[in-house]
Amino acid sequence: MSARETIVRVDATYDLKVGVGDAVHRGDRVSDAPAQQVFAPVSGVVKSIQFDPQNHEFVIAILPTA
Amino acid sequence: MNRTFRAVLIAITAVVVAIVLVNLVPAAESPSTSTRANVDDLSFYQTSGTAAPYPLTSDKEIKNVILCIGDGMGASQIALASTKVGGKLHLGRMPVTGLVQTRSANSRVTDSAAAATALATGVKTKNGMIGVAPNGQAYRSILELAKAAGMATGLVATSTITHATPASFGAHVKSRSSENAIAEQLLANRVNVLLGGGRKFFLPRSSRNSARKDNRDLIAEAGQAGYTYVASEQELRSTSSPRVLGLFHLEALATVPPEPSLGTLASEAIRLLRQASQATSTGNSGFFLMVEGSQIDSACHNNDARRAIRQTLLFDQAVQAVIDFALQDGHTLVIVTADHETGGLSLSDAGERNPETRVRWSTRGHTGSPVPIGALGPGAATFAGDQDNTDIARKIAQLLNIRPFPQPSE
Repeated sequence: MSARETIVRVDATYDLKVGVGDAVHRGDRVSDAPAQQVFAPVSGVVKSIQFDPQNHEFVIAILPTA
Repeated sequence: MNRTFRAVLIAITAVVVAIVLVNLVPAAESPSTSTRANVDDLSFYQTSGTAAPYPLTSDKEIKNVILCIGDGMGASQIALASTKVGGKLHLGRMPVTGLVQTRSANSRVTDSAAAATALATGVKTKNGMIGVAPNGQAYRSILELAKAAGMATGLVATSTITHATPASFGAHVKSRSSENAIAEQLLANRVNVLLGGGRKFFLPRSSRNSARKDNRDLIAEAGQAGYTYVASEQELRSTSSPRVLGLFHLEALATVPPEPSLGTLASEAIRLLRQASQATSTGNSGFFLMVEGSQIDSACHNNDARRAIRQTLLFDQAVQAVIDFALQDGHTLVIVTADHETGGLSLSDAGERNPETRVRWSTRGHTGSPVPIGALGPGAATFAGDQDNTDIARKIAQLLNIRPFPQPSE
């Protein structure tokens, strides 16, 4: 993870609304989670999505656009 | 010996000592060990050699119940693994089969916490909650009630033993992330056999590898409460203690040697529980055991077909060990099911041998698809047909004459 990346963690029960390489705008919804409104905190490009099994979360790394 | 030669000798000795020390550190200590597993090496797995269903067995009295849960294991995960090995899995040969609806109290798509709470307590709850109803009321699990009825009890998982599925059978918390509290409750509940990963939740904060927020040393506390602590297969096989805490990794299990396999964990749990139940005042009070193949879910969250196959086969190996015991014993009800499906996996071109070319994933999350259930042994016929996940615990309770059920905690 680079220092510039912004990390968003979301419950992995639900599907994601973004994939690696997708451009996102600040405020875009990144997960289908019904009880957890999860929005992109920055505009940028989704650089990676990792599954964290211990916390049962997706870890979404967004590289902000300059 | 001149000074230069001595310096070289000391340097070489230091390097050799360093190499030896590095190799002495157990592989299981590294959280990343699982990434080094050769997912294509399936040599550990022995196929059934037949597609015939296992015998239904008799109408003998039920003494033992073993509930096997494949986390995230839908029908397609079973079919995929079966195609890979060229024959039916052991869990595909259950003589009684059915379907299980999995929705939670607040979502068509359940998580493991709500699903396992349904399977353990017979009560629907919201995603993320462990052993409690949506209003926070705790409900006693089938494991706790079996224990109250005098049966020995056990939990086996390849996740941390404090993870959502095993936790739901021996703990009551509003959030699945409260693994510190779950570790305390599992021990306070005096579950006879606890085998899995997650040592970090049992170590005091002062320990380098701890994930606890306090300085409680739960391994030491378990020892004072009569548990024998084991951390290797050899130690596990050597003990005959009626209470065993086996933590084979700081995190989830790596599911590679030198760790004991899930099949070995299941077999050893059965051995220990039989001994524990025979040591009771009534002579043979029976036991309740839950065995989880925890990491099928992880593989499917990563849409990784090869890992999904491997984890399903590791789970099936445990199911085989359970079935072997049940057929020999005759008094054991075996139920094999899943908490939910993960990945929305579908298969095409069934004749192909390369699974990568014929799998389709529709999501990286869970789905609301029903999951299969299979049963064997006395009482098995009760689990035929389409049922809700809360029905599983209710049926087990009925078969064991546990009433009332569901049962709120006082």
